[in-house]
Amino acid sequence: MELFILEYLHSQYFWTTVAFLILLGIMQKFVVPAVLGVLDARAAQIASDLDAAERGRLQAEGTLAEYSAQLAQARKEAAELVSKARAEAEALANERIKQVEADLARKADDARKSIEAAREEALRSVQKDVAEIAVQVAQKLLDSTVDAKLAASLTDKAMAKGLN
Amino acid sequence: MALNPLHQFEVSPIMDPLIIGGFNLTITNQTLWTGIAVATVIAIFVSGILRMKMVPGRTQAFVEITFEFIQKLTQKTAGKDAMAFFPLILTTFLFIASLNLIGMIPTSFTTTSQITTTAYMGAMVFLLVVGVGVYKQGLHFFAMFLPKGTPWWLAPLIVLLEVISFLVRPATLAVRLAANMVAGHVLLKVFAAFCIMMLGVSLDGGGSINWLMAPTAVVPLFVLVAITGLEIFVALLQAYIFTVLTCVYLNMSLHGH
Repeated sequence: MELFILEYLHSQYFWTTVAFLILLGIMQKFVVPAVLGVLDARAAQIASDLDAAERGRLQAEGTLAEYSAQLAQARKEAAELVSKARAEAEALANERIKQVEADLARKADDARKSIEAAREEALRSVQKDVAEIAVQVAQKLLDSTVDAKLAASLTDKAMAKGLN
Repeated sequence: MALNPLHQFEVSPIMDPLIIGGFNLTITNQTLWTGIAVATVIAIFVSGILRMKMVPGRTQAFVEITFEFIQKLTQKTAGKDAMAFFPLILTTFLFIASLNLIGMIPTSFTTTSQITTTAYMGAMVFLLVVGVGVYKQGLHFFAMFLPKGTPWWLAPLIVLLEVISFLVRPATLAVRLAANMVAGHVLLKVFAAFCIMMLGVSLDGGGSINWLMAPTAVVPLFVLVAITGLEIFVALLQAYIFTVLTCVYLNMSLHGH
């Protein structure tokens, strides 16, 4: 049988050993150190990358917190400004309203006064006319002239007593 | 001759006989294909470690994956301190795997089908295991023949069984590997011959195609393809098993029981 021929036994042992030792030598001398080197380097690289990423994350979180604080501060300031401005605007508006009201009151007062004056003027002029007419009527009735001076004093007297 | 499925396992010289110091070291087809297998592994691995990069290319990734596979195997099976033997274990795996796989090339020679060669490998592993065991544990290494807690009246039997199971290790390593390779290649040969016979052509090259029967040759052809796939798997599996067992034995030598 082909399987158990021992003719080339020494050849088999020798060349198998040679081939194995050559392979072992190359693995031990070159392949194992090289691959271990790159695997270790990669592990170190990954570790340092993770570290850097963690540091970056922490830094980003710090920046975010800082920005949040600044934003909150800015919001607060803005709110203060707005409320202050609103208060000022309200005060201003109130003052304006008061001014306008006072103005209106004064104008109304002036108007009333001028109406009063006009009424008195009108009354006086009517009284004067009435007195003159009364004097003329009296002259016609009495058929005599009345001295103007006298007439004026009479009418004044009558006016003082009041006609109404 | 071509009918004989064992013909493929014949060791035949390819050069003039080479006799050195009374030993017949003739270059045979086995020498040739062992050389081709080892050269292929060296070519792949050396091209993989040239210009190594952080982000590996295909060859480098292949080398690294194989490397880490055996590295994890060594650490898990034989412990962290077995890493001193890692180059040896890696070489064992690559050596056997490449010899098995190179045998899948048609007309090539399957070195690991030779029981003489696998017995030699098994014996070397055995010597390594005993050597490391005695070096690490002294004579205490042989205490493993008597497991703790054995009743005294069972001791002679247990020791006998343990010694036998210890001594039979190289033989099991050798026979498992060679038998798997032989069986697989015989099966491939048988089915290939079956294919040709179904065509109606005699294996000596004579005869003509029997057109009525020829289509049925497709069936053994499909089986042949499937078995070829299976054999590639077995080639890797047997290399793996040999390596795992080497690690297991080494673990016993390094750490006792």
